[in-house]
Amino acid sequence: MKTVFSDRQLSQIIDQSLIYQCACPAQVAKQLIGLRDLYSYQQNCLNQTDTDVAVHKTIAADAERAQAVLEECLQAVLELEKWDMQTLQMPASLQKPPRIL
Amino acid sequence: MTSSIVPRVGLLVLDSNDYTRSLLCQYLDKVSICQVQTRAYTFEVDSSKLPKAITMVLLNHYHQDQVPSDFLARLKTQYPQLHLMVIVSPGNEKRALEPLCQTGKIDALFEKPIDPEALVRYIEEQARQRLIQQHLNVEHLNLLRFLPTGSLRRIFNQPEPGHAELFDMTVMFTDIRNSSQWITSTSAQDYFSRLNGLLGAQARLIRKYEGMVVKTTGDGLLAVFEGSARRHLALKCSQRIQLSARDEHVPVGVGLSDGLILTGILGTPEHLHFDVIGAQVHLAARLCAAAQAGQVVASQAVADGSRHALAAITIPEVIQVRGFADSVNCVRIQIVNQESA
Repeated sequence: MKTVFSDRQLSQIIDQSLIYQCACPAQVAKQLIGLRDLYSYQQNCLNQTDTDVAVHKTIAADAERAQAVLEECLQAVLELEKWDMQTLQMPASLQKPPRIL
Repeated sequence: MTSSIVPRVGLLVLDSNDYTRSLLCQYLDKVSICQVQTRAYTFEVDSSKLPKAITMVLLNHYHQDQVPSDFLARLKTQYPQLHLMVIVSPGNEKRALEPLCQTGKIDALFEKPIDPEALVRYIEEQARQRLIQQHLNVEHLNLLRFLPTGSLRRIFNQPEPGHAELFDMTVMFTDIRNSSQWITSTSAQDYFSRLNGLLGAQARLIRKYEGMVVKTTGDGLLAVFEGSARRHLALKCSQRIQLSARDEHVPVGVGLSDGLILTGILGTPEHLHFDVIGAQVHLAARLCAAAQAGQVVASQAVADGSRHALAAITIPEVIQVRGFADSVNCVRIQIVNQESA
């Protein structure tokens, strides 16, 4: 499966979006992880009949296409929100003001 | 004006990121029954030195942190009652921790991004369950504390004011010397807490040696022992109390006497308490007052009835006790070493 973002980069995006309400990129990243799991599952699923082979190939191919679409979406969203694309750091303006401990 | 202390559950938030640690703390402050503490999570966090009173831990795990499996497993082994929760990214990070969840080393895994309200609800429910359990534990301990030993159960089987019986018993008084002076060097709360800890330790030893605490006497305890081995057990227990006090650098005196004691239920149907009355109770109190710090003063009847020699310097004495017409034969015991039996 071709990827733009590595698993670690997706985790980096999700890690910065702890709280549900400010986590739109993280939601996309989470779906990407789900798609990768789905793709991986199809690769390793048992093929006992020709139909099995066709089913697994179809799902894997569509997961890959969906992956490409969502990665493009994530890229666009991160640029819109002005994330640092090198470090994948969320801009401070998007963070809720934390309480001083 | 009255003040009340609302019991709270200790929750420790571990998070290597200052920002998210602060956010989590903000949300968890909504759980009024939790006392939230925070700490920057690093692998220098010593799993064996968890802050006191912590019963729940919430770890926010980052992908760049080392996999915390070993740390979490150690924590759970060290504190099996701890409720361990981890917030983790889906994918590899979550997969790495799932085996710990399946084996019960982690109690709950939350996938990022979290729904903070759901997290708050979950923690509130867990804290509530812990408070209920703590309350039950205290109740259980109280019941055990006042559980009568041996034939004294007959008194408790008929818990009515005025119900009384005579028993052969050994009576023990303990007294922490000069404890009131502590209050000048510490706060009232610290004083009370320290006193409670010391008396609690004495009570546990008394229970261990099959005695029964009748009541506290300010900075000491009144306890009774019954059965054929009562004098021996009471002496052994006194020795252990003194050894423990010596280790804690606390000056304690102990008095023991033995004989017929009137035991019974005093009070009204609305407020009952068990008590012991008689000359031997009075004598034990006087002997306790005669004991110097680190000493046990026991009546001769107690010393004669104890079957084994104690690891102690024992000095026979005849003392005059207020309220007794005749002099009383007793032994002054200075504990010198660990018991051998």
